[in-house]
Amino acid sequence: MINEIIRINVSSMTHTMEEIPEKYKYLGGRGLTSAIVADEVDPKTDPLGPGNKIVFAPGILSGTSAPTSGRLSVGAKSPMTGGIKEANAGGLTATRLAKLGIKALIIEGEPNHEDWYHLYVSKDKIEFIKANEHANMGLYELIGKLWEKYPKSGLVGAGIAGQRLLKNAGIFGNNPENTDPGRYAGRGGLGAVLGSKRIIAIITDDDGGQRPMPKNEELFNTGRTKMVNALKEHAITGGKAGTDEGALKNYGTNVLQNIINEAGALPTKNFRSGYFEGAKNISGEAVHELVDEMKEKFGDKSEGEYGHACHPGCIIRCSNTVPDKNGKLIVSPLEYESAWALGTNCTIDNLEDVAMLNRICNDIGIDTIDAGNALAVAMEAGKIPWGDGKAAIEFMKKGYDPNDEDGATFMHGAAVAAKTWGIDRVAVVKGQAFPAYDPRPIRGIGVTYATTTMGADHTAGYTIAPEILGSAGGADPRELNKADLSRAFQSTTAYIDQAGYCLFIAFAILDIATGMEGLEETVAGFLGKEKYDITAVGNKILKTEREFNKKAGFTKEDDRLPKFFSEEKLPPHDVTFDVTDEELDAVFEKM
Amino acid sequence: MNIRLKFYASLRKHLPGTEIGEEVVIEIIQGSTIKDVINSFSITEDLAKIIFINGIHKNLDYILEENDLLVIFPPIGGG
Repeated sequence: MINEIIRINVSSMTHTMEEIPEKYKYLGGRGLTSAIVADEVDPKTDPLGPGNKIVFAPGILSGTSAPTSGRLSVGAKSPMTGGIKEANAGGLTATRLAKLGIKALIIEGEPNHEDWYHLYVSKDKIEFIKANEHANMGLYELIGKLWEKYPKSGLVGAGIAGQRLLKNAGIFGNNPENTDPGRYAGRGGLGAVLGSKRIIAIITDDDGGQRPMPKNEELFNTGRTKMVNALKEHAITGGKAGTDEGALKNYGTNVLQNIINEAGALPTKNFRSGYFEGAKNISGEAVHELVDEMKEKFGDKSEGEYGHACHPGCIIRCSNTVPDKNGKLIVSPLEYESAWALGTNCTIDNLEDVAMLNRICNDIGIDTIDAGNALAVAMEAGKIPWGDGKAAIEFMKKGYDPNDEDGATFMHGAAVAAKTWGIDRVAVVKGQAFPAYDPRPIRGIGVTYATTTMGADHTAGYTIAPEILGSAGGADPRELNKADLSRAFQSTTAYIDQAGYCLFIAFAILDIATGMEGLEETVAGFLGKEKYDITAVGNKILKTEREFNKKAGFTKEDDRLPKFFSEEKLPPHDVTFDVTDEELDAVFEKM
Repeated sequence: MNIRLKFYASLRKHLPGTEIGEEVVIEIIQGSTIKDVINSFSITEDLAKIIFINGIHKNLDYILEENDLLVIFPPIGGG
């Protein structure tokens, strides 16, 4: 298999292999999932019906020696937003698929049976394996069982929530050590699409596979060296765990908890305040201290860790493992967005409780961001007291019971929970819940939430980098004209997502010009093109997605934030979201 | 005059014995800039990457006022 598309039909329970068509030759990752979904899925189709397809695609560079390039894109029509969706993740599957020569795995059709299956993908065979005994099983147990039988395999799939077709179901993925199913392509309910095809896990075994080789080795290697150097040199992506150098290796993404709080933009108690007194207790610094403390106490037996890699070949290593008081793993990783959603947004500041909430999300198969917003909605509805971590844990466990109505409502995500429980105050765009930055004091990220094809999503155009973190020379967070900034970030992000690089290379390449050259040169070198323009290619991906959404019925009115963001002042800076509708519309109109 | 000070992440070692996010009151000479403060802690300019005064970004030349809350982060990123 080389440059193949594998098409799995769950109606006939068969598969076909197709050489990648000319029009997809230079695509990968998000570029390829979005192109296939746009070409083959009717935008009006029922996301959980026979017309939807779910596509798994490694990035263009996944499996190569390009650093930090092992991301997997998963695409489909989203049951949560009703629009096109790409969610991406680390883990093992992208590099495994790439080494088998598989550019995309498409699952399509409608099952005409009631059984559950795994899909086994290897060099010699692709087969359905009956897996009824694994249905409704917690994912920590499931990945353990699967690795006993298929050691070292990449695992992705649909957990309990996905199997029950609930709208906040993510696609789980095992981490490189198989200790946690927490490498999620979490957002937009893609787990439910896979569940609708009655597939639990896709097991990828790359035994006998080969590293994909670049067409123009010289250009690729030049670019690779530039990228490695930029990532190593930059203070955010470089350094070494356990030293003063290297923000992500030491504190992980959750280092943002304190800085966004100090900026007065940390959404607290379902977006009522921008400052949370308890943020420090669940911050990246707190995890770092806990890991050190447990190492001191239990030595190598402690499972706590920072500077952990989420996929093979990552040199940024921002992931972590949060230990309990006995040094045993609670969850890996605890990311900023998750700690914010399950902690700050619900005013829970007990680190162990927050880690446990994240563990339950991972175990039942749901996205943490929407889960945290849905928990806050449950608190609004009086189902859980604000700030009560133990009560939140008990509430979330209702998700395991297929007959519990609150559990099912909660696992549909924040938008459905709010509607069902009669709560008006819910932070969603296109039905998808907000991430960990209040757009009132930081306007650019609000423009991204409103306009991205994905529903409220920070990664789609991470303007926080200049607006708060000082990247690329910085940008004033209060400035209202942010269409150009958001568009530029959305476009570059689409390119990075297509390449299979982790989005966090952005910190280095925005500040180091040779790093940006390395991005284009590795991709162009691998594909055998002279140039592969970042903005032009990124814009093309966005236009494809936007067109799909338009046909699905989205209008300008869907590119707006909930009203309370422009009406209600956010303390402590007492600001509202004042970006005009015209400015929001300019993101795509001026592309 | 007095200002309030917080250092985060790897800069915390310059305020030994403090908890994460703990505010420390320090006395400075009237007219001092943020640059003067970081110099007094031997923190280099490249490490004082993100600076807030009362929650608003400022640069090193800002002249401090009584009771300002000065918060400094080294270069960090995430998301």
